[in-house]
Amino acid sequence: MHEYSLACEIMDNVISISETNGAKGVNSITVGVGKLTHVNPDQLTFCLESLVSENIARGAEIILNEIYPEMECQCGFSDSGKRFCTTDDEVIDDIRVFLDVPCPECGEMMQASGGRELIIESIDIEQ
Amino acid sequence: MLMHVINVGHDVLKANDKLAEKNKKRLDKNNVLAINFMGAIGSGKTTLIERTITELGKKYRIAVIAGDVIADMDAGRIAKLGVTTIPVNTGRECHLDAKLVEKALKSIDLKNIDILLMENVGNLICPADYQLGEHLRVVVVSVTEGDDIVLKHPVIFKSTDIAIIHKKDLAEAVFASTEKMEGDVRHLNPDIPVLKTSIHDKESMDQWFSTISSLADERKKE
Repeated sequence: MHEYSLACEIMDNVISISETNGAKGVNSITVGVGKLTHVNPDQLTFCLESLVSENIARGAEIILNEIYPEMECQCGFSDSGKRFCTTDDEVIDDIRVFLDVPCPECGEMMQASGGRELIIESIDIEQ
Repeated sequence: MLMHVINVGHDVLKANDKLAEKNKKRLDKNNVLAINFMGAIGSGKTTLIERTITELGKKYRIAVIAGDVIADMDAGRIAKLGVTTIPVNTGRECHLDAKLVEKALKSIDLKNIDILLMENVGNLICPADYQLGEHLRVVVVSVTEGDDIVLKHPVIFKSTDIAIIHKKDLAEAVFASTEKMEGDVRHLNPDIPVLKTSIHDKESMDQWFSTISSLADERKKE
């Protein structure tokens, strides 16, 4: 399972950074997930939560931020991908929103830049 | 107690890509052309690799990394053809990653290899997120998966260098349109070659072989 191994890798990093910084405990772990990866944020959170039970990060809060790609067109138009997956009252959770979207200015197909990250953004530790 | 926020900024997927770059440099140093075959279970990846070895093995020295959750079955099939075959058991993993390939490369005599074929684990989702150090990403999709399969998996078709629409001889039997599939690939990725192949159609297979051999020749000259 993709998310589990990624969660393990994240935890290995979190533990080693915490130890290097002389942490006594970890309050929270903030992870950024690109919308263009195939990582399921709910599954990743679940895996991370189950992994923080038996180490220095026991009880740490898992905070997940979604990272939207920047949509760019040859005509010069660009905007955050977030614009293209939100209508008035709902968010469309479909990867095609970023891969198959015409430019609102000229109608050409736009390119997505970024959104392929899986970043450990920060760790809040107690020293 | 002191609370302290550490800004980390470590990208786990980019770490894989960096390792993939390292793999690529090793392959480049030895003028090896590396191809990553991605596709669903049953799309025809292993058979395509077998045929490629039989045809191109006359001219090039080929090695294979066969990745699978249980890898020795495909590896066994391929090893029968007399080429170096490294089975990579991914265990629970749904894809090959750069670390697994780095380890496999240690068992291959790269100095005496021209082409490295890497068979990814069978699915169209997870392999899309991982670079291995390959020069060429090839997606193999068969008509039997249904002709809407391309649009269902846009990420992998966006990130590939060649798309193969395989088992084209079965299209009519499974009510699939290869024209629609080709059109869908072109819509997502307009500039890549799209080959329609069947192992029963020599001309289409020759087209694939010549695509690969011209790329391998280019590298040899470099």
